[in-house]
Amino acid sequence: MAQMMRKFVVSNMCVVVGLTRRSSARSLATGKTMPVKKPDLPPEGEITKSVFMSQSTDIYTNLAMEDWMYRNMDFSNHHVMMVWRNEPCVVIGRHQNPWLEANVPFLGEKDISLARRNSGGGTVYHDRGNLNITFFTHRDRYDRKYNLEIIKRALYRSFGIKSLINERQDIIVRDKYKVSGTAAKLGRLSAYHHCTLLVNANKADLSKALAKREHGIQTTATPSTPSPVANLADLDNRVTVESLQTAIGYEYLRTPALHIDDAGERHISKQRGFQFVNPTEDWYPGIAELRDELTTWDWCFGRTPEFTVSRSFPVPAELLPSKLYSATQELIITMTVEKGLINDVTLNIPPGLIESGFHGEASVITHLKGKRFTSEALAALEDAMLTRHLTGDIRKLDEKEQFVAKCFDQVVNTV
Amino acid sequence: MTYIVHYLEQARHVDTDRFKMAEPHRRIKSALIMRNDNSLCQKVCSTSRVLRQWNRTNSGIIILDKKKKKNALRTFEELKSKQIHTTRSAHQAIAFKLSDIGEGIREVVIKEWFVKVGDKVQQFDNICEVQSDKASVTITSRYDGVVTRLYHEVDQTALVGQPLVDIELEGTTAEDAPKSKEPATKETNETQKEQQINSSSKKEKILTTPAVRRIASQFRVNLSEIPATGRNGRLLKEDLLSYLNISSDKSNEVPEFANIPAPTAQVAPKPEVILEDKIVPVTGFTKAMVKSMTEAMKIPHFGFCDEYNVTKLVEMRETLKKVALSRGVKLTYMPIIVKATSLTLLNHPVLNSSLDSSCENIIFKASHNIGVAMDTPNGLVVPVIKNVQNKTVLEVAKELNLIQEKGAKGQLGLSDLTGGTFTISNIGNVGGTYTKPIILPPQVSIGALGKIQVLPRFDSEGKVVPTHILTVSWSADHRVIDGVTIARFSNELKSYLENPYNLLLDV
Repeated sequence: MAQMMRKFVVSNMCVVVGLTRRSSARSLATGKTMPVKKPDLPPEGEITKSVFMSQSTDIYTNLAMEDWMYRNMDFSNHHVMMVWRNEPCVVIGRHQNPWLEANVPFLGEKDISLARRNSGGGTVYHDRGNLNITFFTHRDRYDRKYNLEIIKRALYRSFGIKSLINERQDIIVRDKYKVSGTAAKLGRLSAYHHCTLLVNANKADLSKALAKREHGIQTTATPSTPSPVANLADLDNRVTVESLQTAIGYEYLRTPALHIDDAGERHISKQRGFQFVNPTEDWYPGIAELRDELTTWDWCFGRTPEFTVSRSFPVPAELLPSKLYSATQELIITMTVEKGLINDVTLNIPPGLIESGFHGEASVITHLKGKRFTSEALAALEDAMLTRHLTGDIRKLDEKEQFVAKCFDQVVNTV
Repeated sequence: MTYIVHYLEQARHVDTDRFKMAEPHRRIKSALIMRNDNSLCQKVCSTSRVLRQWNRTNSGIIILDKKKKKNALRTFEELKSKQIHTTRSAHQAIAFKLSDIGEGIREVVIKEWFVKVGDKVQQFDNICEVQSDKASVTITSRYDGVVTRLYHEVDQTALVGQPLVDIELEGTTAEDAPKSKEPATKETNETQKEQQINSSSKKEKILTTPAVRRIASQFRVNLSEIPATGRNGRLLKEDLLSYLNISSDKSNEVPEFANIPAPTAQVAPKPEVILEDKIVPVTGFTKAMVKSMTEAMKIPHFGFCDEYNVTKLVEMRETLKKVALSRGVKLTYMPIIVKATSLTLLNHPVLNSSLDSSCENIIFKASHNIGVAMDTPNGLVVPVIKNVQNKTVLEVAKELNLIQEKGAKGQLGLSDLTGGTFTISNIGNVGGTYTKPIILPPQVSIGALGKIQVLPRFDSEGKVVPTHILTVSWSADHRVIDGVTIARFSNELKSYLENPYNLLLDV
């Protein structure tokens, strides 16, 4: 324990050093207009590695921890690999559309959290049977292939599982099953690359949470590429999250920092080893703020690039005044959503519905603008329709308005 | 149609579409030089100034006023030499290219911009976020300067090695004065220099441009000594330069002190030390005060002053002070006076009223919300103690303490400051006897308490005794209140304060 504490103190000191270095570099640079020559990075022999194991299983805390390390630590002579697990959640990429990628109502039902991470890429489902790994290095030392090679070698050395890395930089087993997804973020001084490993995840929940439903969304957000997945435990039942964690950790520590080779047990003893990490405000000041930002609706849903959703609903025959209309009457609802708030609504009301006395268009549109693209909008809509009725004595929506409300519900909720 | 665009289109030296984007003004100037057209330059007057202004506002079109055109005629030579001055100084816009991301990536998609055209950036500020298949990269600036152009929109593809943004570098500081980069600082520098020049030639104002003044101050030349050859006695730059025997090119450089040529020896021996007037903008509490006092002076005020013999009040307060302290309240004279005022107001409700803006109705206010004028670190504020008629002296004291604390910390909220119906100012805390307080609209009266002094007075037996005297000054709105009302009010309050036991009967 004392040894671990010492190692931890050492890494904290490293943090302080990193901070002061950064600020002095900045004060030198602002006076000049020409770029500052970057200080050289230390050679391979001077880089030590550690493996951080996060003690939190809250997705937001872990993402905040990643962000904190990326912003505040100096990785020039210290490379870190962090391993972490979460309670069931869905994590979407920085520029993705949550309604497009995940089944938001299902997530609400099953109490699965939704989070948006800072790096790009696609959507993944996490639960306790899924291991996440993040590799932190200095910006110039960023090497994704190296990281994935380490995982591949660990799988083979400890469990004899053969895998390969495809052109999209996923880890594939048995030639077609994806066991890992990867994403990265590069900044000015630091960079991180994180990936997931499916060990024993609940595949049924995974497919339901990420199910694409018919939604009518057009957007320029990054799409995800779905692929068939497999659990590593299915291939070899010795694989558990803990054993995998240890295996990859040791493989990481025994490999020299910049090239793939086996430097053996001797090399491991020169590294900083495994450390438990408790992502709380006391240890990491500023992390609570980062976490809070990640939980807000504005970050998870509001950061969605602008999109348009358009759906059409056939009007049931009993709402039409007479059976004279031969063509199917369709109600088309189009909404543009910006920053998660409904911006513009267009209703294409078929003549049959107008004739039978539906007058709600104007109130519908004005009441929806600016509302969040959730059931909140729907509630506002129903309120709007109700208030119109207050002048008469009818206190509930008539059938046509109920139908329109139901259509809106479908647009918002099945998306 | 603007003159410049018109002539340039004719000249076809400048592509006007590019002109409409954020193109530096030097392009237009070089176009004009190439034209070499005397008549053009005469018509395109104030070119530099206008173009600098345009650059500042970053709009694409220059509007030239026809009237201004006649006022400032320049010879072509002067205009040309002006242009050479300004084009010489470094004003480069650097195209900041997308650097190599690594992993053999050739192109990325711009996902988010953190700056827009016209923003000032410093080295290491975030410019944009790009995404390449799975890596999201934050691009930071390599230079200090101003963003003049974004090459791509969100969701467009950018290629590695191609320009991403244009950043206009800030010029070096020394020879910078005639340039438009920091117009504000330049102007303040010039006003300072102008004052220095003006000090030596106090009588007449010499007609010159700021640029000429700058050069004169640089070489410490008295402007009035230079023969002026311009129209209406203006001092042209050429006059100054010929006086100094310096060619136009070199006047841009800041001379070392050793190099100042002979003429400067003739200059007045030492510039006087000028104390500069300090200009402080009116903000915050001062602004509010300016506004309310201007409003207040529309009310016809009349004043009424009196002195109260508060010897017995002083004794009473001494005894009550300890009791109040045991209850955790600091008791001063103010709460007692405030409560007494409220009692008196019950009998004279017209003093607790308000005249509406059309002067048609007097609104008799039911609650006595008495404002107590307070001096805070930010200035004068008048927080209000609400419903004094329903509060006991102790409660009033408690609230007063609270308000004082809040005021000292600057935490008074809007509810604390609005809704007053009567105001009392205790200027006597600071000093003074009789004052003429100004009514705070929409109230109709105000009182100010002076210092409690111990003065010799005759008592009922004709003997001279030391008495505690409190001087009060009332001001009232003569449209609603007459002298007799105020006098009666003051007398009643006097009886309460001179014989505090009377308070017992009415509280």
